[in-house]
Amino acid sequence: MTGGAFTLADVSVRFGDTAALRSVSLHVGVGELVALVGPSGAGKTTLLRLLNGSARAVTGMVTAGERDVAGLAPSDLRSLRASIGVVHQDLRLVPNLRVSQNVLSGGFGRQGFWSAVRSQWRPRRADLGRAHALLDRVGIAEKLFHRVDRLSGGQQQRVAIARALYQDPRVILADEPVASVDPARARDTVELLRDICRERGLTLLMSLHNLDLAREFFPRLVGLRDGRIVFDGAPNDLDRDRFDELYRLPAQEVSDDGT
Amino acid sequence: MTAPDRAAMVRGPGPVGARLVVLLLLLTAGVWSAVTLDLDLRGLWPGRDGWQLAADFFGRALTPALSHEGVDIPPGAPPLLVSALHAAMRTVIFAAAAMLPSVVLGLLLGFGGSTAWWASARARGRRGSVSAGARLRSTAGPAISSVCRLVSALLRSVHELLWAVLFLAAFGITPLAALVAIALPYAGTLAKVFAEMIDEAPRPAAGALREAGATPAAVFCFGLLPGALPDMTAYTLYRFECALRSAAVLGFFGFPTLGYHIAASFENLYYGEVWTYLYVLVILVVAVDWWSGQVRRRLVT
Repeated sequence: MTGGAFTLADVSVRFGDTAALRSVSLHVGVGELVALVGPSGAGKTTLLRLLNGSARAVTGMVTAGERDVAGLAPSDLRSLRASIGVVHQDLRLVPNLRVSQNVLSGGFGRQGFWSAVRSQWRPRRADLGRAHALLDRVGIAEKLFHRVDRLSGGQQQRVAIARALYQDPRVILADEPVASVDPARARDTVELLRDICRERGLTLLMSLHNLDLAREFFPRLVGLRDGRIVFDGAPNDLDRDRFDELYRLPAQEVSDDGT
Repeated sequence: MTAPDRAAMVRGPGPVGARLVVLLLLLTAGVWSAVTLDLDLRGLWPGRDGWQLAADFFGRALTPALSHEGVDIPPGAPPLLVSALHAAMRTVIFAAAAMLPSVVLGLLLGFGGSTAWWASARARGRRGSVSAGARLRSTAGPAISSVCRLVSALLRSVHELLWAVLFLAAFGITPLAALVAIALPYAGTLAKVFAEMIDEAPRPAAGALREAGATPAAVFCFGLLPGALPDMTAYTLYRFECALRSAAVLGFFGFPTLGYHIAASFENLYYGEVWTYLYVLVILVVAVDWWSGQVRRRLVT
């Protein structure tokens, strides 16, 4: 449905009195690998949520492929969402189901209810084979029939990635996927997601606290601060001044800490 | 944060918190109820006959009867332990037969009464362009949910003993009367608790499936329900345990469960037999409790 390209034109988002995004314009092309960086509360999550219609712009327009996301009929919104895999920091798996069931639930976006029931109850051999191949790609093929809550945190993260890939998406949105794992595993996971998206030609947008990881693995960084884009370019262009502009503490916070 | 704000935060609520007031009110209400009932603690002290009966009855607790205590046992009557086992089996059958329809009805009313079931429809209804079906669900949803809650409240506000009296008057002592008498209030209780468990189940997985384009029914069944299922199963097994007691008590009306034999033996002053039947009931309840624990452990870990 989306070819994998997104355009934000002068988009603002508000939650009550708080502005989450202010007049943001951004274009992401098919197959681009983009890291969203910036301090917490800058609007990275909101920006990602706009792209699959989970958050709505107050003003401005979000286009996925050629189409206005806000104007989609429910069935079109479903097929847009089916083409976008999302990986969250808190994984959002069903802990007391098997790995296979969680991965196969990635196919629900293209299935009717009874087909979904069948895939959970008695999955087709071919579907299980696909799930197994994806788990193999993320390195936990032998866990296919284990219960998710018996796996380690790092393994569960691989399951979440496999579920997103099972959607056969054009795009992967990853919202702070490594914020709650140890540094070595964080590096592995970011690299894995980047490599998978590159080899399959998927568009990848990943929000990251860790600027070092973003610089190491992504050709394009988009820096957000207070709901505005303050940087958009290659890692090498993010010099000392621009870095300070992105991450300096706001005046109010400084005085609050000081008292 | 300004200085007055901070001062207010540090000071906290006033000296007499709302919680303390409520506690005192509840205590007062309790004492007042006791006074209104004109409770006389001396009434708890039995007379001489009462002491004798209590002594006779509890004296047999450690020596339950192993064979019939009566002198003129009708020929062909089964031995006591066989009849106790038979009654126990009857009790289990009554309870199980009553649980089946009450679980089905409880699930239907529980799904319908949970807000989570309708939440996705409402979320879509707020958006501009929606299908007619989604709009109907978003407007009819709250109404259907209220009806489900009302029906389940009506069902459980009448105790199974009252239902039994009603159905006995209508049908006589038939197994169906006992079965329906247990099934109706149990369906109401199951529906209420199922609805609450579904609404309190963790939501993140459901959100992820919705975000991946799953239909609302698939989101509910595979994103939300698995999180509630261990608790729902354990609660159903606990209600099965309650149903065993209810089925036993319905024996007092003449259904051939443990209660029937307990009442008969008690009337004949065969206290040893009463204890035999009581111990069988206790074993049943403990067995179900153990089973429930096993099932829950398998579902949760």
